[in-house]
Amino acid sequence: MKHAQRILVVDDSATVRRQTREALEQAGFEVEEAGEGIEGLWRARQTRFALVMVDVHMPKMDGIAMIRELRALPWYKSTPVFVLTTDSSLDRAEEGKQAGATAWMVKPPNYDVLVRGIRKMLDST
Amino acid sequence: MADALGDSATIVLVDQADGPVAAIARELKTYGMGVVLVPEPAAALEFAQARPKLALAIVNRALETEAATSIAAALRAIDETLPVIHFGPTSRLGGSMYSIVVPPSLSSADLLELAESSLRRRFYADDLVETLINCTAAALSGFDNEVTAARPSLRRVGSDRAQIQSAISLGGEVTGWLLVGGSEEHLRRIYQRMFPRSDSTTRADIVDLLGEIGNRTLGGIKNQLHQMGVESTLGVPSHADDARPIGSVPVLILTVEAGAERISMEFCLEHIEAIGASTERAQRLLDSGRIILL
Repeated sequence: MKHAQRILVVDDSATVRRQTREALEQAGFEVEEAGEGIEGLWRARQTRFALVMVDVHMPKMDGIAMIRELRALPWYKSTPVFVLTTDSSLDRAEEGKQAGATAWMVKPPNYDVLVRGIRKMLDST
Repeated sequence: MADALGDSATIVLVDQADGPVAAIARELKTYGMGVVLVPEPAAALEFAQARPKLALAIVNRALETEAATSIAAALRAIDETLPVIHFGPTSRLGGSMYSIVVPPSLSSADLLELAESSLRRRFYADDLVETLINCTAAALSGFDNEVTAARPSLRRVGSDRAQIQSAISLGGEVTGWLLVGGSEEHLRRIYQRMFPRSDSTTRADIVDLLGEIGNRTLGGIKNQLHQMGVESTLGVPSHADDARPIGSVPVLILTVEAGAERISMEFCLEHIEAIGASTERAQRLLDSGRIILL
């Protein structure tokens, strides 16, 4: 029996985490949540996730900083990291890429597109 | 309030104390503006020379003589961007240039509405308001597909505050803030539409929803400013039920209808002269809702 793939959703908005959780669980994924970068890193150390979704603009530790720290963890060198953010500037996306992000989506998310994209990304890893 | 908002938020009315233009002075003050009534064109000119960055001038043309220089033209010689509403008989127009000419038959209510829209455009250009409306619609589309309308107006002193509010700030080359709010009842219904399987909706849920709406709306404004070459930073949304901030410019209100519910947005943007000065730094933006592989 194939286990559901586990995704970590990191966003300071409980509403966004909830919407994203519902979309991903409906698509058959298991989801854990974190409210900001420090908690996200802690969860990433406890559990091996197949994919990590990160908001950029968060208190305490922003998403770009979290991605850099995540890539330094042994399990996460090549794990897909998906940024979901309000920031649509090319400069910021490039900054995300330099930090180690795999993909970028500007809010509001299209959850159908998001789920298809995640499936494709995980199938290719 | 006029001192708090500054000279750029002062309106000059050229009229006698019992005239038709003076009749709307009290209402104009409810927008938080300073209103100065001067009984003759020469005094208005002196005032404008002393305070060159006025918000609006409304002139009762009945006060002008044939020989007098057009007050509107003289005011605009001091500030060519000053909107001037000219109230009175059109037969005296001659070769003068006016922003808006209205007949003496116009009611006080209509004159006030015209003044409000002129003020709104003075501080929030039509394309900026359109951007705000589009960003609001885009932000809300991710939460509620029943959003139907958004009407802009200037906030009036003493107007009701939303029952629940979230605030988010904008800093950098332009500064400002956005308050998103509504009644608890309306917001609960919106939240329950989003999450129909939810057993209960807490106040914290609603505040969080408002914060994310504000984050996406102001984030959209930030992106548009970036596209125009103006850099800004977003604050973190915070619960702000008791907040009624003011700025150096009047506050714009956007009332959004989502089905039978309403969300109110109060928006203040300052130092917008930075927007016009930065067109050479225009940047491209990424589209929302699409996956960009990095």
